[in-house]
Amino acid sequence: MSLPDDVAARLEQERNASAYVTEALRERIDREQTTVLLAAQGFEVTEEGKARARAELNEARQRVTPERFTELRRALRRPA
Amino acid sequence: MTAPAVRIVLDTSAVLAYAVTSIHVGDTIAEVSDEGAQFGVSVLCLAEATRLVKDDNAPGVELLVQHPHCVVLPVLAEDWQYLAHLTKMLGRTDLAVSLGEALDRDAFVLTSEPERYELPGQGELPIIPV
Repeated sequence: MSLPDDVAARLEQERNASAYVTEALRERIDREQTTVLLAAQGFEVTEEGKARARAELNEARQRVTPERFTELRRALRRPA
Repeated sequence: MTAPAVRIVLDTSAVLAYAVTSIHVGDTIAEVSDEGAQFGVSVLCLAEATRLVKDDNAPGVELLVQHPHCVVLPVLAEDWQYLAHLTKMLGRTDLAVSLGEALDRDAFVLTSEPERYELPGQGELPIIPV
């Protein structure tokens, strides 16, 4: 298997390159399976749609920070 | 091994939206899955969505549960007082359990009825409308 220089250089930094590649491939397979599964159910997921969802999630995370979660749990009387 | 984090919690309305293939819900689930995270849904919301869903769309609820990134969240006996407190504030147990689960996980409720989560005097809540 031949690799582009930038990929080969990145792998050289890994103590266990095999594990690194395996994990990366598993993540990719998982993403592909999710897309295939959703498509089979009639969802037309697109990169643009995911980018919009990502922006909404990021906006929500800026609006409600971990400190805000702690504050809400206290205000809403969540037992420790 | 640590389980992937639950980043969003689908409430009853989001489960119903998924059942009719709302692309907004599909995109959000796909994005959360891409992050290597999971999405949660309470058993209470699944039961309520199953009660409300039209027969033609009922398979969508079962398919949601079978999604590899879906975590079905139980209602624990020790949480009953907290759940009762939130239910009194929100007026519905399925809303209360969704908000409670989200708060416990620093996660966000995905909902198509965000107006139902308004709590006077509490400010910003972790809600994402669809």
